[in-house]
Amino acid sequence: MNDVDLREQFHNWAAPLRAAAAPEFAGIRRRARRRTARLAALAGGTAAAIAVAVSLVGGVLTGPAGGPDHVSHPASFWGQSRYPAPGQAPYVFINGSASGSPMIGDAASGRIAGRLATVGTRGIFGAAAVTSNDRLFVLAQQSEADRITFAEARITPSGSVLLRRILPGISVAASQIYGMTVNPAGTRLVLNTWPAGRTGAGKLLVYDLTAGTLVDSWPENHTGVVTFQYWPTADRLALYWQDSGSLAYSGLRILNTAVRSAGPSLAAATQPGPDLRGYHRGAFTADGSVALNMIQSGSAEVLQEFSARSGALLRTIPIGTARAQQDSPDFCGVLWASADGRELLTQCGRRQQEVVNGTVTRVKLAWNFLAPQTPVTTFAW
Amino acid sequence: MASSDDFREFYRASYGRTLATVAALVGSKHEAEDITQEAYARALARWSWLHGFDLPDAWVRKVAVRLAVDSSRRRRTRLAATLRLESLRPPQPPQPDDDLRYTPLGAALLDLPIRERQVVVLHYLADLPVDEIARECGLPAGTVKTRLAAGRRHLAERLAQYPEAVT
Repeated sequence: MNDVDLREQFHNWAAPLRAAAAPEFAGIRRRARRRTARLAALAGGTAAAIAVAVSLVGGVLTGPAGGPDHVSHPASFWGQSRYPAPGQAPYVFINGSASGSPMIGDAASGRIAGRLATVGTRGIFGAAAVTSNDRLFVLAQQSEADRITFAEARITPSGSVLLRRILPGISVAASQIYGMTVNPAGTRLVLNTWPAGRTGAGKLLVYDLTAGTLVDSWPENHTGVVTFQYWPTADRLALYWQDSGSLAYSGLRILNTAVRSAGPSLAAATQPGPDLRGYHRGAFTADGSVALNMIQSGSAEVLQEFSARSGALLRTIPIGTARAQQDSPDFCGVLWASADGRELLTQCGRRQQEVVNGTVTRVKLAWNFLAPQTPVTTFAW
Repeated sequence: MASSDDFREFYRASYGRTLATVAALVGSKHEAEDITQEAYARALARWSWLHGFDLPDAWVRKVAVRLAVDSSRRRRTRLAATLRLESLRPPQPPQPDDDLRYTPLGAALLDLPIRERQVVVLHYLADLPVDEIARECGLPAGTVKTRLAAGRRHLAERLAQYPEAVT
């Protein structure tokens, strides 16, 4: 039996199911309402329980004047924030949810800095990227006119948001974005695109954000794909290249974007980086010193921290249960990491944690974050 | 902008495809319908941002597949827990209208471990290439290829027991 036969068997088997009429739409609507009500009740119940617990603890520690607004974290990396967000970089872009429009919020206080609508076009925000100091967000806008355009959202010193359109757009008919990263200085942006219909090779595009121009583009090949990337310096991009055609290229590779491409493929234009094969689901801290890798271990979702230099396992941190992840549309992984990885905020399902030098504390942040769905980024922090 | 009519159209157009994928994973039409409708209900709750996707059905499929895989794992646990009671039950007649496991392919599929079944169904039924399955399942492409090869081999062995299913 060959592939064609097997595929045909599948399609014959599924034909009656595919032809099945969809049940009445009203049933779906009722189910959606019930689900929303259930989640609201759950969130309300949780909030009430937390409020009671906080007021009880506050009462014991501070007397009658204590309450949620008086609760502060001990002097630490997080400063005196109401929520355990870094004082220097608390801003997070949240790309809408069932209950709200896209916004940028101050995660340290829970304040909404600004609600956002696409600039110069009607559509939605797709991919999003942010500098490591959380003051510049680059947002890809997908419109009904089959164009992907770009906007930047800058946080002003007073904490408001300035939104404006930047960079030339690209055609949806030609490309879809599957990755986008901005360098720490906010001067360069890299886009990973694949062709519409996903046949053929993708491209890696580098933009100069200061000049507002496309600097260069590198063709990927048919057998490789960038799974994640970060900028260790203003010009050098580190990317994890997974190539099923040529294993010689697979692994962490470094691209010097200051050198013109002169037509080579992306794989050929890059130099091998540290040998870190196997970090397919991972990410790197901004300084590139720590590799963060999510694995499922038994019934737990576990975060592994590896030294990017030696490959040694530094620590493992349980962040939630596999069941919590499977049953929930919520994000499971690292929400935010300090440049050296010593401070982390994680979420898995509804469970949120701060990790400071390996010490784990359960927390409740101002927002819960949905899992990203390619090509739409649900948050950037 | 997103509207209820947009969703209805999307729902009617894509329901059958999603149902078939889920049914191949869980082996029961009734259970597949329940899971598929749950996935669409979740999509409806997020339609204001989901409608801008190039392929919103990919989002629904991902949610539905996740629910189906979870359901299959739960069923395995339930079966293990109630296996010792099997001898006390009256024999259950097959229900061809519901249970897809009484077809050769359905039976062969349900014999596969769920991790192999998932990639086989996504590849042969949803027509996804390896890279896309890897992205959708959060797996390395190499792992998907390995599971696909094992699943194909196991499927062929089981289908060989049903001569009419082999072409």
